[in-house]
Amino acid sequence: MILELDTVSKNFEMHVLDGRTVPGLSEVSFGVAEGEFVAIVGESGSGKSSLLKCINRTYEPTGGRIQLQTEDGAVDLASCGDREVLALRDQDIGYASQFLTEIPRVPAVDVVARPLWEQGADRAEARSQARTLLSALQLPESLWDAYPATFSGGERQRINFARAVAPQPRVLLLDEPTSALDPETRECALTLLDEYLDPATTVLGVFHNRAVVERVADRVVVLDDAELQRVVDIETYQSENPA
Amino acid sequence: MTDRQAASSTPDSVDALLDGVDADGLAGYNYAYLDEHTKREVRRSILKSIAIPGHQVPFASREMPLARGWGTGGIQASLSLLGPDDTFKVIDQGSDESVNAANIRRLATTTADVATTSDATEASIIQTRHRIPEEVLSDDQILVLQVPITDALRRVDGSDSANRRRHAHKNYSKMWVALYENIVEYGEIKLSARYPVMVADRYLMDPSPIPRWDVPKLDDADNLFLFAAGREARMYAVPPHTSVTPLAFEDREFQVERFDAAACRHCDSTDTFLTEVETDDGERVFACNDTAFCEKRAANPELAKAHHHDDPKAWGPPTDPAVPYGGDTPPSTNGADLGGDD
Amino acid sequence: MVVVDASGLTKIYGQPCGECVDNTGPAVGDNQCPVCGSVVACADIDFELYDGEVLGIVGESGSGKSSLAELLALDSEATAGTVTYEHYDGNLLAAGYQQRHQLQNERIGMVHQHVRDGLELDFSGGGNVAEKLLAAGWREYDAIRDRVRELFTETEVPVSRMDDPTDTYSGGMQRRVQIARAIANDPSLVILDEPTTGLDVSVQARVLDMFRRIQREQDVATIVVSHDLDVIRLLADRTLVMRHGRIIESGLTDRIMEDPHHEYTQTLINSVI
Repeated sequence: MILELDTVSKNFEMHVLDGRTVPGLSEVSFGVAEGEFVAIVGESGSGKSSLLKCINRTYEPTGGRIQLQTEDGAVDLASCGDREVLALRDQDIGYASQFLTEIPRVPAVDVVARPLWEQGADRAEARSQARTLLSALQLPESLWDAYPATFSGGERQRINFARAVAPQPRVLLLDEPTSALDPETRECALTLLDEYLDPATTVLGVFHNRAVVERVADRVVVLDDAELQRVVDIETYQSENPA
Repeated sequence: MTDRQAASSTPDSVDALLDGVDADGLAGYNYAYLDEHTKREVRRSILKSIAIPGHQVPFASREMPLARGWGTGGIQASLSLLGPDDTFKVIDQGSDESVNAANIRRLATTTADVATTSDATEASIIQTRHRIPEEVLSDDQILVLQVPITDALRRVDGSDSANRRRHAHKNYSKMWVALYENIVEYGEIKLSARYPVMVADRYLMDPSPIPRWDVPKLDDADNLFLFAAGREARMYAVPPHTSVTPLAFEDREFQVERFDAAACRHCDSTDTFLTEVETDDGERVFACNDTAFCEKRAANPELAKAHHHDDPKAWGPPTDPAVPYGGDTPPSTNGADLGGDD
Repeated sequence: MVVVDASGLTKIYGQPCGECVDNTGPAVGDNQCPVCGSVVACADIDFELYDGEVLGIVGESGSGKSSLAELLALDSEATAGTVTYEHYDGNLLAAGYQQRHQLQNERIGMVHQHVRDGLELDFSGGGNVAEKLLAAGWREYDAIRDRVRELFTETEVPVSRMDDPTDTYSGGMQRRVQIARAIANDPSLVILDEPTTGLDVSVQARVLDMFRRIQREQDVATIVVSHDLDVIRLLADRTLVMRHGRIIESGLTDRIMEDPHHEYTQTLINSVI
């Protein structure tokens, strides 16, 4: 198991609601093997994004453990120090939120190349790789040197996707990475995952689209109202929910 | 004729000089104009200046019988040092004959009864405005320079308290930036007068508005240099054999004026600091700035600047810029061969 | 490796009576001591900064963030506290005038909020940068010029303007010259105090992106002080939230932005337009 969640909980204390506690995740436990592609599904508000954010430590879990196996041993992402998290985010964990948050006036190619620079790649080489990814995602070349602020939702999402995938982390966390794409470009994105990523890459992805889940996932985690309902392999999922 | 004048012509002490003066209705008269308390205060400041080369020392500058800006600091220093045995020379921009120099000389002879001279080699104390004489001074001579602005850092910051802090901590980066900006503008360091120097590798000093030509004379000299400003009420000193280095970059060196190989119209010298003069017919000619030395050279063109020394050292390069200058050179006149004889 | 380790940093303006720190702060809701009237700009500040890390300090007016930045840049004297710095033996805050200047020239770069604190407007832009080199002992004019050109290019200031007086530069260019000055001698610590405040919107992003690039390339530890959450989000790996002179929350920047714990932090995050 590269990733092991053990009774992970996340509660939000909302001071604006007079300190009322809102549950985000409630004692979620499951494991992920290295190289697996796990889809996370559930209704809106069921805790899917919260789950990814807890693994990435964008949320601090209120309870439980998240064990990640690294080269240097096991790390509990839920409780380890900030600096360790930063080090892990360099190589081990990659995260793409649903929407592109970009720096103004940075061209699309540089947005994608940046994580490669930060890993130490040569600038020209990084840009070249970025262009390869954008091309694979069918982003028009005319846009590569433009600023994403005025791009369409689908275009921005593809840049976001390329940026998450580029540094090839060991564990990739994707939050609705293709929600704004039409079937054709979506297929390009999913193909890219197959072709670009190392086969040993572990992916956890939140998806709304059933077809996508069936296309990519090895197993499916189903959440309902902040709780883990069940974890099934893809064949079982397909048979449970016939088209 | 007073009793005093009828007495011996060379008094051998201040008391002897004042002896019998009472009768002339000159009771309480101060030798050399300043009272003894003032002289003591000035002398203490002088000693302190010598003890801390290049450091500005304040002194209680007195009311003098001439206006501020006309050498009151230099006069106070000179009058505090002059005694009956001294010989006094006063020059202003190299000339003994200017009105200002003449007036200062007369003040000294009237109040201190000292001998005066225009010969730099005969004077024990020389007061000067904006020049150092051509002839090399010896270890029993004192040069008193008149100073308008005492702080080299004034060029970069008008705040005196900020500058004092900089001097205290040897923090001179702003002056270096000023030099940098000067080179940016002119391609070379174009500062002419008041060229900033480092004294004993510790204090940044303003050598007063002497030309760059005179700045190398301050380094490792045999004589004492005193710098005094009456209006700013400060003085500083460069003792004998002190290192004085003009600020410069390794690849933009300090250079002196060269006068395009001109020669003095009067004595034909090509190794003295020249003044450019336009004659009535519109002709531009050059003449030695140091008039007293010019007269000597006119009488004896081979005269070395250190003719009264054993040390053949001579300040100042040839006026021909093509001749490289690396320090002391032997005297030369009218394109004569520059043999190395030192 | 720890570059800066701060402990108990305190700055009080006025004559402290000994009860000032206890009688001020977020719990009380004020910076001014009710007993003696002294103003506690910041107190009991503890943090660590590692090599290559960017630490953000965010807060509103009166939070104490700028006072803290000044203490760390050695521009003002602390009332109490110790700072251990990798290039100095002992408490950095106790360094004398001479040592402070040497550290400021060679080890610690500061970009000031107000240009008059950071630049000599009479000097040329290149002269301002050259000053840092000259203070560090550079004495070859051509080498200085080359390095200034290099720094101007890095900070995206037009080299053609290098010899113009700094007061003819735009605000964005002046800010970038400050950054060039700050990094001139390859410092191990850079402090940015409100790096985009007062700049045109179109310029802000460029300045930030340029600094981010330089910081990553040179791996220089940085402290960014700003009231602007976007600046913090863009530059900082970790963030301290300050209010009434104290740190009320600290953590990973994205964690603070998306999962704020403290009531004030939640208000702050929710207030972004």
